[in-house]
Amino acid sequence: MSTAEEHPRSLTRQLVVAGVVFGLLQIAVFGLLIGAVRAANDANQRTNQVLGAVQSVSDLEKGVVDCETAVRGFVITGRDDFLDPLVTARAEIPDEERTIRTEVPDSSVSTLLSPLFADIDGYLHQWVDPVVTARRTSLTRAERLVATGGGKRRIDDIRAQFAAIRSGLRSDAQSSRDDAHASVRRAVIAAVAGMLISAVLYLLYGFYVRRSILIPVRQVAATARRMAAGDRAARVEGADTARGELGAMARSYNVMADTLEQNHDELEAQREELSDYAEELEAQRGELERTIAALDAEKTRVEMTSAFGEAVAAEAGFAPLAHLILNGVADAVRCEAGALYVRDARRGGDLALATARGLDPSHLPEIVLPGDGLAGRAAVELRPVAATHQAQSMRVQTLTGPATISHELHVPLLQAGEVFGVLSLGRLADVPFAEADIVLVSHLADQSGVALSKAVVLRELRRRDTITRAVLDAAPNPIALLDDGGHPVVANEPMREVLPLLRERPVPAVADQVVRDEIEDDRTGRIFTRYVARLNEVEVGLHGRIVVLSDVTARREAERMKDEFSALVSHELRTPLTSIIGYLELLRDDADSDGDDPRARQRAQFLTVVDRNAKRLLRLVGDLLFVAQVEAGKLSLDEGDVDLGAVARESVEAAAPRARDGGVELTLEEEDTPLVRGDRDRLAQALDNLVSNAIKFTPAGGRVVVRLACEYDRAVLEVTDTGIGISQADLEQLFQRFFRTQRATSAAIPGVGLGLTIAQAIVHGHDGQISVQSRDGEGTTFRIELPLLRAAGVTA
Amino acid sequence: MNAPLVLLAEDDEDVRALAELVLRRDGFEVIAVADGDAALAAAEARPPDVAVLDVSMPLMGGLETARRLRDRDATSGVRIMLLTARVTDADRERGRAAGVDDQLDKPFSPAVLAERVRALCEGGPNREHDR
Repeated sequence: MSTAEEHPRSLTRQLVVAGVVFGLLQIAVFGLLIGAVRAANDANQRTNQVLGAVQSVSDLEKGVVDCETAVRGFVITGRDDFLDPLVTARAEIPDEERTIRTEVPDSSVSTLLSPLFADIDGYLHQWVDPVVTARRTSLTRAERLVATGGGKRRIDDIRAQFAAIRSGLRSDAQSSRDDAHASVRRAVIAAVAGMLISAVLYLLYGFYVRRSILIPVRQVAATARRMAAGDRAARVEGADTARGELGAMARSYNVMADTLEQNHDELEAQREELSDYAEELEAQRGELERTIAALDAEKTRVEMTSAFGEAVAAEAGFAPLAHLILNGVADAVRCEAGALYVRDARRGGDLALATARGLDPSHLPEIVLPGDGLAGRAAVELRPVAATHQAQSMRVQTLTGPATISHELHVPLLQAGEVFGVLSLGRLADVPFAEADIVLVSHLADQSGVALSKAVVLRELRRRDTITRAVLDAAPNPIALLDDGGHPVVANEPMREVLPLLRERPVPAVADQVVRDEIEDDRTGRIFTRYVARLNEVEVGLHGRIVVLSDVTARREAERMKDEFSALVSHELRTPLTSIIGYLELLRDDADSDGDDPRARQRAQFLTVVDRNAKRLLRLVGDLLFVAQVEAGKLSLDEGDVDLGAVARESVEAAAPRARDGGVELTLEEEDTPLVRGDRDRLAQALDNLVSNAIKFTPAGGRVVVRLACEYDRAVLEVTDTGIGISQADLEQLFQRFFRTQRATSAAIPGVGLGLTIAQAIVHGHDGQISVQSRDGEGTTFRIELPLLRAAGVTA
Repeated sequence: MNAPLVLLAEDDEDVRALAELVLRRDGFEVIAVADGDAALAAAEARPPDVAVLDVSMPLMGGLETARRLRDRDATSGVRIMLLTARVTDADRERGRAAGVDDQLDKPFSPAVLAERVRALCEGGPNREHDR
């Protein structure tokens, strides 16, 4: 077998070698044949050529003979027409000689030609021509010449030569003919020999094919027939030693036969086993029929579960869903009583009673606390908890009266691993909860989980939505949420009335900060302050702007009326004051010139009092207007470079008479201070107010110091007094308008409580700061700081 | 040399009388009227050296009167003083915009009025314009 496998192609090689040998043999035989035929052909051609030469030689000889005949005739007759054949022959002789030279083969014969041709030439010139010439002269001379017999000798000699040549040529032709015959013979021999050898080789080949291919194939075929006939032991004999492809085929066949036999045996064994099984199966069939009956029951249960699931999934309302779940589960496991607790946001996420079955809800706990009771345990342990009660131990109040629960089962409702409800079931009948019951309840609980948790979320969403709507609609301000295209997504009740306004006044784009603008409704004349904030809650897909309107119509109207009122008051108060103060001045001028008249002096004194009070009234009007102006945000400063030193000096100078009258020492401490940028009159007004206050609240014998200094980048004006001071409580409200300290009021110190308010407004208007320090009974210091950064850079 | 002519427009009779008295005392010739129209008519008839106009008069106030005086060729060079009941700082701005030369807040001191009118008359440094 190993040998065969090493030369699996030996048969192919042998067949190829045999084919090549056949081919070569055929080519050799054909070569021999062609060679012999060609040789024969050559010999024939040569023969024909020689025969042609013989003909030509004969023609030449005939020409020469014709010449002799013509000459003899001429001699006898003397007539020229007897010479015609001579002329013709003489003309043809050279051509014929040339033909003979080409036709005569290169052999011993060819050497004979030249002497022949020379003799012919000699004959013609040395015999014929003289004879002809002689005859023309005289017959006698010619006859004499002829009588010499010269001509006859010459002719005989020539004819002898012709005979020799012809004989030689005939001999050549004979030999060529012999050659041709020999060649033909060889060809016949080669053909016969080739055919014989081929026949022998074909016989050998046939024998070889029979032995190497047919026999082994027949063996395999016979074996196959035997096997087909049922002889499983049939094998190809000698396959192990056989070589080549057929050997391999035979061995493969044997292997196949082995395998087949083996398989057959195995199949046989299996068949026997199968027949055993068949009996067993028959036995099992009975069992299966019983199982099918059980499965039918299960199918009914599954259908019930499925119907339950569909019903649950179709219900979105929380209360009907809770009812559906509890009753569905209770019916499935034949429970008369039950309760469903579900997580409730309104109860801070506790498990609250959602619905009850067969039990009086008012006798059930409103909430289940984790770990409390069996339901609480189920909620904590995340698994069903079942319990059996001894007779009479578990009395409950049902809707139809007291009853006894024999068995109870609590199953947690889970969503994403979290408890969001507990299903509690009770049986009055003394039938314990079977394992299948618990599994079924758990299954149904799982099924209701998603729907119930969705309903819970939905209920919460509705609740919040309701709250949001209620709050929004209750708000007096129009509120809306606009999408990115500016269309309202949400608008509360007040906003719905003014939505057209939002469309007319495009809401500005906003970034992070709240943008505020003012819009007016041309139809109603209402004015709104509009606040716009960006809303960008990517997670819930909310983009847009929140718009809140605040109706400021009334406020604007009030402001306008106040402005008008202020202008009116100002004008109406100032005009009479103008007359009063003007005429007073004229009167006092006249009084001064009245001299020492005591009555005139007294009159002048009265006029001074009237003048002072008129000016106080005027100042009060000015202060009121100023405060109104500040509140309206209309404080405008007439800015220039201000020399605070000059302002302080003027202020002290102006207040000096009042200080003197009050017995207060008023002094100025002044450092060189750069100019500040500001409204000189207003700054003077602020300082005047402080100085005037200090004098008012300082008893006789006290001191008031006005100090001007430079501290870092700020100019500082301080007014310090040794007055009555301000209590801590009053300090906090000191700068409020119309505020007066308790002490000022009780001591009847004049004023309306605007001075400090005005001073503060002015200082703030200059980006400055005003502060106060005071100790009760010891005195007060007001301090104004103004930024020097606003300075013009010129030192006063 | 003739006394300078002052045109005084003031709707309040008492204030008008006071101002007229003070200015006459100070040597001015005064034409006193009660409203803007009268002031314009008077100025047209005889252009004054100085016009003292009350800012708040019925029908035509001092500001409008000042503007019209400025617009007319005959009176465009008249020095104008506005008597104001200064309510807000913006009022002063309006006066300046109307092209007045000086503004005096009410109530005013008669002496100061006379002094400022004199200054305007003499074409001295104009406070409003220099500012």
